[in-house]
Amino acid sequence: MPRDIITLQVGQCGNQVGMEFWKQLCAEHGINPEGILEDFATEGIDRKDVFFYQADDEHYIPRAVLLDLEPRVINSIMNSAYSNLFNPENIYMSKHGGGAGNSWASGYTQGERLYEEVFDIIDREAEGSDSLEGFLLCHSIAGGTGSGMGSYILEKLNDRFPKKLIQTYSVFPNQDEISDVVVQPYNSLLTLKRLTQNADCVNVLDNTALHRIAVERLHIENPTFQQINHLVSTVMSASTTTLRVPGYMNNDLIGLISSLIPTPRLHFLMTGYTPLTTDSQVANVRKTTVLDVMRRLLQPKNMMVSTPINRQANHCYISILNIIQGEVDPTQVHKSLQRIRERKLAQFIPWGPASIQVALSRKSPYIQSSHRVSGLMLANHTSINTLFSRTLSSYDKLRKRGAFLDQFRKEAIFSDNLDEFDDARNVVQMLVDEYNAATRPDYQTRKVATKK
Amino acid sequence: MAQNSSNKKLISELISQSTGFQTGEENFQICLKYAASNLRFHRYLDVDRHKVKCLLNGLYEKFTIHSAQPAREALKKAVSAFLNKPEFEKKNAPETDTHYSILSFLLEMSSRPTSQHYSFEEEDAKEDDINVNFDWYKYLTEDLDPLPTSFSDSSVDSEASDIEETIIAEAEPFVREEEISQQVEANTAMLRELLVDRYWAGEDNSLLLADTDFAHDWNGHLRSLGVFESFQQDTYMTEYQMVREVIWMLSGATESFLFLYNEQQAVFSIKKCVNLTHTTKTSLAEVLIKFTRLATKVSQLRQFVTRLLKGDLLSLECQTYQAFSVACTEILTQLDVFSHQLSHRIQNGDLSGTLISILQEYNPYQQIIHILHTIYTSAICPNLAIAKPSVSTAATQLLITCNSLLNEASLQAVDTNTLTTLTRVFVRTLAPYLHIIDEWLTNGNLNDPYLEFVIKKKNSKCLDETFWDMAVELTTCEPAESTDRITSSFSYNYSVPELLKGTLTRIAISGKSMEMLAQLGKVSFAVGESNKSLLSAFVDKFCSGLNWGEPKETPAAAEGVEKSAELTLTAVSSAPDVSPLLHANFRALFEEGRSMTPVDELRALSGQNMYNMVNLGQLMSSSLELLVEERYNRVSQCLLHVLKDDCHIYYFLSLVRKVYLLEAGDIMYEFLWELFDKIRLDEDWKDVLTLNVGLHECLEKHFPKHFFRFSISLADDVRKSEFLPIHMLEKFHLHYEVDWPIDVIYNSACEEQYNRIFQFLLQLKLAKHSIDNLKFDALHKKLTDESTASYDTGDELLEKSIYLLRMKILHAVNSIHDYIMTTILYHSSQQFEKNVEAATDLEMIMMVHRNYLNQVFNRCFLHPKNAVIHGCLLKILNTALIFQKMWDSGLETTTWTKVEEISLSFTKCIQILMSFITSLIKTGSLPHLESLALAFRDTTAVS
Ligand SMILES: Nc1nc2c(ncn2[C@@H]2O[C@H](COP(=O)(O)OP(=O)(O)OP(=O)(O)O)[C@@H](O)[C@H]2O)c(=O)[nH]1
Ligand SMILES: [Mg+2]
Repeated sequence: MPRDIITLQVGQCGNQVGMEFWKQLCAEHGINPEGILEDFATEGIDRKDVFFYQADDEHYIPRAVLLDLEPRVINSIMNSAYSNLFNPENIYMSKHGGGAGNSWASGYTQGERLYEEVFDIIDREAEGSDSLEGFLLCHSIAGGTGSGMGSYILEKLNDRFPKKLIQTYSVFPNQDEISDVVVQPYNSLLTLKRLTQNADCVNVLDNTALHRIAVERLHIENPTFQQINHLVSTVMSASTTTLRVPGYMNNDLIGLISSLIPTPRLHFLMTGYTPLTTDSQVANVRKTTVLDVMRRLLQPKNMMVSTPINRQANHCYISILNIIQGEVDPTQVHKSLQRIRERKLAQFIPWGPASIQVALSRKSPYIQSSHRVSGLMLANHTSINTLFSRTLSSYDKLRKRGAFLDQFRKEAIFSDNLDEFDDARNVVQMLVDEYNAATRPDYQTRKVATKK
Repeated sequence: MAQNSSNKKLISELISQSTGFQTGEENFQICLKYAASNLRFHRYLDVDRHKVKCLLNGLYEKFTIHSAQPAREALKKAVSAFLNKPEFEKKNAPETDTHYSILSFLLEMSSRPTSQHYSFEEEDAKEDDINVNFDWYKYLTEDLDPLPTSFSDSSVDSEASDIEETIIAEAEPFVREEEISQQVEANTAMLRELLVDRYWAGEDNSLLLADTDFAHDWNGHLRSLGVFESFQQDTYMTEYQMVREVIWMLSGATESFLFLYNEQQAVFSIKKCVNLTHTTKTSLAEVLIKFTRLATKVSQLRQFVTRLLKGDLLSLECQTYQAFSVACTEILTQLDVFSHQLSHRIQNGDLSGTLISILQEYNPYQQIIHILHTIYTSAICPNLAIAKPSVSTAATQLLITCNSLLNEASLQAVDTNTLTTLTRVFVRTLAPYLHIIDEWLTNGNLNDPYLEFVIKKKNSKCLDETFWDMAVELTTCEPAESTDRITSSFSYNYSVPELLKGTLTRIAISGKSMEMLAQLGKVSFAVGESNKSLLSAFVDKFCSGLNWGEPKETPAAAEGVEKSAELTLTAVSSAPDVSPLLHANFRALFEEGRSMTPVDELRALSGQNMYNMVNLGQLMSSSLELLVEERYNRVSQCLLHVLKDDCHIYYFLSLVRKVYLLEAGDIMYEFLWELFDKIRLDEDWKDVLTLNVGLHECLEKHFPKHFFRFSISLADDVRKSEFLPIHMLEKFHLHYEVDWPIDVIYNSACEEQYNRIFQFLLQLKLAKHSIDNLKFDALHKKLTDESTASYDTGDELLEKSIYLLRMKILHAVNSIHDYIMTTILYHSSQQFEKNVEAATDLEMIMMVHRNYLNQVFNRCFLHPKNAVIHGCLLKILNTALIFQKMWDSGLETTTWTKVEEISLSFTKCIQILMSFITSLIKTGSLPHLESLALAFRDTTAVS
């Protein structure tokens, strides 16, 4: 019995990223845009039921809930080839809505208002699953709907499904285009609080890094969201591959992430992927070895999170999980690990075991790949806190000026006071501090500032 | 001639002409007187009767000396007849001058009367009674058992050697005349003819016994009378007589004058006191002993054949013996025919009847008879002596001996004919074996009525998992050894014919495969295109092999000699009508010549030039190997095909791995998840019925046709000195019901091993499940319920230390898990699939499977010798369970001491484990262990 996962995609970013993810999953499982299993895939031994459920013999429907406060993005999905893929009852879009207007507060409030409707869908979906392992949330933290409504949903999911795992793929805003959404530090901070407290695992996808990768590594001058989302979907499908393809290794989500997360709050993961190609670049077939892959994954340029390099703090890895896909000789894994350790290619925390895990997985037989071996790294690295501290400092600057607070005060949660902001700042600050503390040998004996 | 008046005139004229004296001179008168007196009294130029008579008498004597008595008589007769004929001088009177003149003329003309050969009509008539047309063969074989024959006799060229001529020259008794002895040297052939005639005639020599048969009878008579029993008198025989007796003896006659026969042992010996006039006793004995040896061998072989035919050797009755005896009979018959022809040739005078030349004539048979006899004495006789001989041992020994003698012969470059004959004998003797193999490999029927084959049926038709291992066994192996020989591959400590050594395993596999196919009713699948019998195919292959037996390597330093030889060789081989054996022989000669070069001498020293010779044994083995290989391939492929397509063997094997080894993690997941949850919540999970229902439910989705084959049972209790919660999973026993013939591969021993691995994997998965599913919330649950006030810094540190411990245990469990799952199971099954793919027969699949299983078993530390490591691993896994219990009870109930206790025992376990693993790595017995050690090194480094 597979452990089912329900995907929630919220807001523009969440739905666009989600859509790319589904396209990728369909291709890997041999399911066409109509949700029909292709003839060539009927004998497959892959586990489609983790992300899909079967309506009839050949019809597969994604375990997906699509939510947005404006109809534009979802409408474009419904007008695409994939219009029949999703269960229409799983789609909620505000008919009249102009979205959340880039306001976390608006998104949060609307989420609260739409609680019944949204959780009707989620509950029904959860009921329909034989053994639900958890939820997967796709959203951006900078907009209004994805961040605000997403935050509300995270809180409620925790209440309603305390035993289920909540994993998010959270898109962080592009720092280079900060002017785009001026209030994004507010939105990000408030979302980060929920991600810290209500999610079990957050996969950080930094638009800054994604953009840089698209330009520098894929040589796309002005990458579109779709091109960037393709990177995201690659990462998402790769990180779920061990769940979807049977093998000796981990069969469940928890088995994958449990070792990555040492303490409740330190659950923000960076991702790296190699080799990266676009469709136009497929020709370059190379013989990649496991060591090549694992070494490249440790290079910052392949990371999908942008962190400043030169910092005085000794940032280090807390844990690493590599998922290697393709034809691999298992004995090579051990040799590669040995090399990495010998050459100290990865700096680990001084207070715990240097946990590098490697999971091997097969590639989908239905997808032509130019690479024999590819790898995904999920890493818990202390430098992720630079993203949060950047958010903190931006927030502080905005807050000092009291800018754009009117939009927030309009909503119930901020109508009385702005305590929620302070609380969120506190939580994020603690997170930053804890990551910093984790870089030091005395982490386990040192007290971190606690909440009162 | 006195014509006085005319003579006077002529004399006068002659005197005046020659001297110049004139008539009337004194000197003239003196001359005339002298001449007239000479003419009158000296009969000038006339024949001298007296001298002619003297000459004739001298000639008569000469003839006598030359022992040409008949010639002398004839001459005497002729001369007197001639002289008495009144033919000449118009006088009706004998003995005229003309008579004597003619005689004198003739005598002058015949320069060497004694050196001529004369033939006399009367002599021929006299020898008629030594009957030219008498059927000796019939006569000689009259009282012998008829032998089955139909064998074309090989034409054998015998050349008189130099030695023979010398011996004859020495035997020449008339060396008195130097003239003649010179002639002997000049024309030995002529001399031999002379000699032969003389001896053959056997006449006029009082030294020799006129009739040996008579003497033999006379002696017999004396013996029967009981008188003069001890009286032994030297007897003389002619060489002719001896030759005659020799031939008789070789033809099987036991009664003879010259030889004694010991019926019991079938041994011939020479009678003492028999002499030949012209040789010493020793040299005669030397020659004769050779004949008796040959005759002894022949008669012993004959005796063996007869006994076998009569059924005297019932305990050793088998087809191989029969085949050998038939082959022997052929050669013996051939020998008889040859003896018969030989005697004919001697009578016709085509052949000189000396013992030496006869011995020479028999030479080609000497060798083959000798070899046959060696086979008989070394392979057959020992078995005849045993009270209860093993037929198969006997047959095997016979074949082994034949084979090794053939090899020896081929390496010694024995002459071609002997080799051919020997090869034929061997192939004949081998034929029953080949027939048995043929039948087994074509119909799956091991038909061996006399139990002579090296492989015998062990167990009659048992269609269970023991089929493959128990089907056949080597007959020659000792019973003590056969019991512990569970593996089905044969070891060659046992005596197996050389020829079969390389192929026996394949034969056995193919045979068993055919039997299996027969059981599955698929024999027709394995029928090949050619319906040639194995024997004829073998002979074909062997013959063609003699042609392609090119040397595999040509030495770099090719010499001119070699090149020319090579040229000749190709010329010979390209000639269509050249027999392969001639070719082979030529090659052998050529190789021999070449081996004189230093390069090759070196190689000879290193024993590497063997392949240069045509090693017949090797050639046979390789021919047979090729044929067996062909059949093996066909049969094995067919069996694999049937097993794959009809029995779905690969599917069943993969099913085993999926279920027992949790290869497809999800398939057993639902079942295990439920089980683990129950264990975690301390619910009762030990209900077999519920377990089976759960198992079937989860398997049914994936294997709707086969899920019911699996069933779970629980052992009553697990005996352990120290029972840990993790041990409870060792009660688990999963049974997998498979049908024949799959259970031949997946047998109960395998299932036991699979189960042990399965139990270990369950323990591992349970530990991982427990530690993975620790929710951070669970630790705080009770805390938040009561109050947040009690949350002080002490708790925070305790919390942190719990987190750290979780991290360590998680890391350890994950490391073990990854090691087992990736490095061991994933890797091994990758290899297994590759190896199974490459397997060419069922035996190999079984072996690959066994090896795979053993490998996994060992690498999971389940082998008793790794018990300590296994114990440590279980303790670590058990720590995960204990830790999970503590976690689930909440932070509130957790104390520092408890955390420290768990932490301490955990660290200790890791340390012990590490030290054992490190020492194990040093031994190198488990190659992948380093990755596990590597992972643990970090854990220990921190703690
Ligand atoms: N990677 C990626 N980022 C996106 C995509 N769409 C939007 N974003 C990022 O998301 C942020 C904007 O949030 P949106 O998702 O557009 O906002 P929303 O959740 O729809 O909320 P409202 O539109 O305010 O109701 C910006 O930082 C964008 O860079 C996308 O398709 N891919
Ligand atoms: Mg929007």
